[in-house]
Amino acid sequence: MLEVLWSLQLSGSTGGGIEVSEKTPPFTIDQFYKFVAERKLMGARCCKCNNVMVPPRMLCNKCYSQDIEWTELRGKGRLLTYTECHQPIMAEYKSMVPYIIGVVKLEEGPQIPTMMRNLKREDVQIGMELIIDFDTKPSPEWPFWTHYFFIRSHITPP
Amino acid sequence: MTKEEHNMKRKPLASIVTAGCSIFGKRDGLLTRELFAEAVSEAYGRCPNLDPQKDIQAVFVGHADPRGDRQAHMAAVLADVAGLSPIPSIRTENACASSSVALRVAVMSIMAGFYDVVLVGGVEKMTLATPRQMIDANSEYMDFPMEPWNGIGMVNGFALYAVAYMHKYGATEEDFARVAVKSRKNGVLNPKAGWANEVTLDQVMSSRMISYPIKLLDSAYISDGASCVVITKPELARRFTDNPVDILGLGFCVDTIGMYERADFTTYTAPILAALQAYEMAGVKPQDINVVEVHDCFSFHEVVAYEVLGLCKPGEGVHFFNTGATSPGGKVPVNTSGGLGSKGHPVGATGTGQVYELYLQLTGQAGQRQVPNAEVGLNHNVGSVMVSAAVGIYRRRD
Repeated sequence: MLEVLWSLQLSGSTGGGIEVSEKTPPFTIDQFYKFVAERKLMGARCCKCNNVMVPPRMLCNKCYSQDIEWTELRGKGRLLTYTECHQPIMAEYKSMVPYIIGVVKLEEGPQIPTMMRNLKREDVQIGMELIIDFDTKPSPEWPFWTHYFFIRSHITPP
Repeated sequence: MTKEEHNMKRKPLASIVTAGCSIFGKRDGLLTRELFAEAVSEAYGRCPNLDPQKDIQAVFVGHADPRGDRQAHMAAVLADVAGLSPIPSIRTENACASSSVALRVAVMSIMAGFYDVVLVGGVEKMTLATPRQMIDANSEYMDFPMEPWNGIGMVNGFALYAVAYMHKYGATEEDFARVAVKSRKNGVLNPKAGWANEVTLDQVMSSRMISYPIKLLDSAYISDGASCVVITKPELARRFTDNPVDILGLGFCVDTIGMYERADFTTYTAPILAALQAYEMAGVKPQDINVVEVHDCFSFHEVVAYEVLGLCKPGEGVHFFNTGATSPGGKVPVNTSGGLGSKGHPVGATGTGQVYELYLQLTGQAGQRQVPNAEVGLNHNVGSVMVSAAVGIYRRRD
């Protein structure tokens, strides 16, 4: 019995019906941020109903299918709403205050929360076009992720 | 038919026989258990016919953050300080709606026939943390990997909704500030509102910006506090009090943790669904409500609450306020307690704290805050940014 359990653990089977192939990166938020560290905005696309999920999910929240695949997104979208933050939510952001944050509707459909850089409140308009850019320096503490952010779309990121 | 017979035709879910509330504020030297003892002492004191040891069969309490005074397992702690151990006791957590959820499951336990008499309440100790620690802690009520990780916290989340509202309906910062002025003036009359302070429109408008358009005096204070009610099966209420308050309807809904997934930032799915459920269950309409406690964590959210609760149409919240309808003497006074802007927002205690004020109003015990002939009351309690939403409707028995 113990040998069976041990070999199940080694093969990576979760026992919960979700098969994780060694070739497919898992549909986790941690993996999402691994892609962000590679300057990629990736969504999880449901192969059954085409629902694109940001952040990714292992289980489609529309049709409950577990047949999911990664899809690279263009990182372009329009601003749905915004605010200007004067009191940083985490100590790490203290030096950036005041900063603009908002919700962007990506061209492919999903909505994504984000900081917006190189913008003053007077420059911001609901509906404006934005494009993604990336910070590649990981944080020194858990969760060790990097950051994405959005800027005005007429400025091409390097 | 007597009024009682008429009112009991549509059977209430449960009945409130007494209520208690600590002073909400910066309560140095008091631990969570002692805040709750203050609330429970009042509740027991108001109800001499209640024999707690003999009558109370279970305890349900809301408490959001054990780091408050390094004390978790609040179900055990609060049952103990209420003098009830050993007893079944459960703690619920739905962020700022924690004690409304405690009330909901307590009512369900009575309706299911598990218990006849139950103590329900909530507590939070927030003032020991430094402001920095408290802001960090509040970020955990958001979608951590997507929101705080991208600089978005609780105030910011509500501000995103406020900006969308202003953009769609042309509301201004002054429109929201006037609501803050009204509520804080109410709070001066409430002995439980430890942060009560009357403010002018100018003071609100010139207060420190936290997240556009929300400023310091638009916002609830971090606070300590506890509140409780004792509820019973409706047919047992008269054993304990001549003035029971019946719980007619409870609505509850939980939306996605991330507010960025919402289809529309000028509609409020969880709060509206909770309100619709409560009205349907209670068999009352918005125009039947005489007194309301809403979740004014930010003054903007009170305006939204008017619309969520169907007191006015979407987009007409500011106009509705300007008619004076929700001010003292108006058609449906809102936040006679002073609201979260005067009491602060001790997260676990806020839900049943609202019910406490409604209990006083509906039993004619609200003193200078009394809404004349208040018969039907409603509370609106929201956790995180439109995530958990609870609405309750209450009526005095006679």
